Amino acid sequence: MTEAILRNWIPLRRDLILHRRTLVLVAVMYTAFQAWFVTSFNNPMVWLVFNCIYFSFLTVTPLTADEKTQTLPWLCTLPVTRADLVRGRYVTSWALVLALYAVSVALAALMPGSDISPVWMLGPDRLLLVAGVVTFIIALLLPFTIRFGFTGMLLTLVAAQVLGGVMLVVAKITGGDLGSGISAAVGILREGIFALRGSLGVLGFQLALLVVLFLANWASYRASVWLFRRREF
Amino acid sequence: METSGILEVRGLCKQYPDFQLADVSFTLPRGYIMGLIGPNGAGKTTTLKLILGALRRDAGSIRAFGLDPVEAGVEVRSRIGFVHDEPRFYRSLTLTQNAALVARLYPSWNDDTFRRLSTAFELSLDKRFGQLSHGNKTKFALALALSHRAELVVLDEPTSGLDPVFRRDLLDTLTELLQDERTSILFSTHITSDLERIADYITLIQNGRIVFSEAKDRILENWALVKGGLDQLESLPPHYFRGLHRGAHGFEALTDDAREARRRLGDSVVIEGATLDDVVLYTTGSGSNV
Repeated sequence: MTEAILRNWIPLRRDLILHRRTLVLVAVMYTAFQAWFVTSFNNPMVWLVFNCIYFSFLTVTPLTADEKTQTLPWLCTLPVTRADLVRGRYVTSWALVLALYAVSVALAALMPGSDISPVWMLGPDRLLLVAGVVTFIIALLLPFTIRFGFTGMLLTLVAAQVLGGVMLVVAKITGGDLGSGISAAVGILREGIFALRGSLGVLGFQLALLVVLFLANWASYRASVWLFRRREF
Repeated sequence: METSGILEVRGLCKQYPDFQLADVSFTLPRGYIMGLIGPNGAGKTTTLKLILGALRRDAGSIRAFGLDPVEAGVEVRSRIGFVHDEPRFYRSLTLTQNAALVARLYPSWNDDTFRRLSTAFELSLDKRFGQLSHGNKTKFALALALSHRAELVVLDEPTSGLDPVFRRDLLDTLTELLQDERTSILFSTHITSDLERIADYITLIQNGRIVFSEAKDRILENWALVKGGLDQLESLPPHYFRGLHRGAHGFEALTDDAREARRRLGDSVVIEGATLDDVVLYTTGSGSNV
């Protein structure tokens, strides 16, 4: 167990040292953002979802540093496995997300006139929502970032944009109402979640969701390891 | 279990669209230095990366300390000190910070050795890696590679870009490393004079294939330059020499059997010892064979 923690701590520490300037810059920017958000919107749910998306992109972006510095070939000659290097990325991303969430909840709560309550934000449902949004972004982006670097991340985002554009065009040509379609899909998803929650019970549903999110991250991690092992330097 | 050589490479193959490493085999015994020589693009760096497990081989086998670098990569790499031809570390970190990141990965890391080597190499540890000259980057990479009691030191063109004084000091340092009789060095270079000073074995690679892999003394004893008139070439069978340059009035050629050439050609030609430079030039150069 100690060895496993140490094995993950080494790449995590490496990434934190490597990106210390970026992290300080993000912290300063984020404080300013908190002040703006609370005075302008002050909506806890919007704040939560927006922040999760923001954290996920923030944590994935600096991890492309090894591509920029061209240090990956050297890393692969060190006594670590490719899986260790990939796991370091996932551990760092999640550690940063959790740290950013904790700090930002505290900051937002401290802003004068803020409606953001730490007790509400740290409730099990909200934490699962955070984990869900972050998992969706990190699990999707990291395999492409690890395999293709910053370009991979950009390509994934561009592909998502193109897909959205194509759907809009198709909807316009066929005379369909894309907005209603999305609303209907969200509605079905929402009803499905409530039905599942009703049948499993609150605790059972939360546990099941936790397991699904864990498996999604695990599958993403395994895919990343597979992709990274195929890279040659 | 370790076999006879600290490093054994057998039938190594790697296929690229425009290049092929084919049937590369050699053995490096424990406690010796092997020079891996050959022209640019011959396959030296590819071979070294395959040994480290940074590339996937298509065929063949590699045993370092009796272990396969693909199956036991962490163990093998923890016992190897490697220096890239173009060392790349984190540019924004100081040398101390870069070393601290590396040190934790090696169980046998010795900070005293690292500081002693840094002083000997005149490296300022407070400087950022990005501020170093190419020569100092190589020196830093060497200091890292030699600070964790590596049993096999793999150097990819370490002396290119270094001034002659440091090159001499480096070769002395490498020779000192061998005093414990457990460290071996695999040294890829095209500066053959360095190898003439320190190498015990020479492996010549050309177009992805091994030309020879032999003890250096044996090469310098058997290989020779033969100089004579053009008329003497007529009496020799085709491909008698390993390499040949024809001039307007005579020829200069390389043989891998000086004794046989002396017996056959006698005093009608001049036969003198070949340097490693001659061997590389004639075996990989543009001279036509006879």
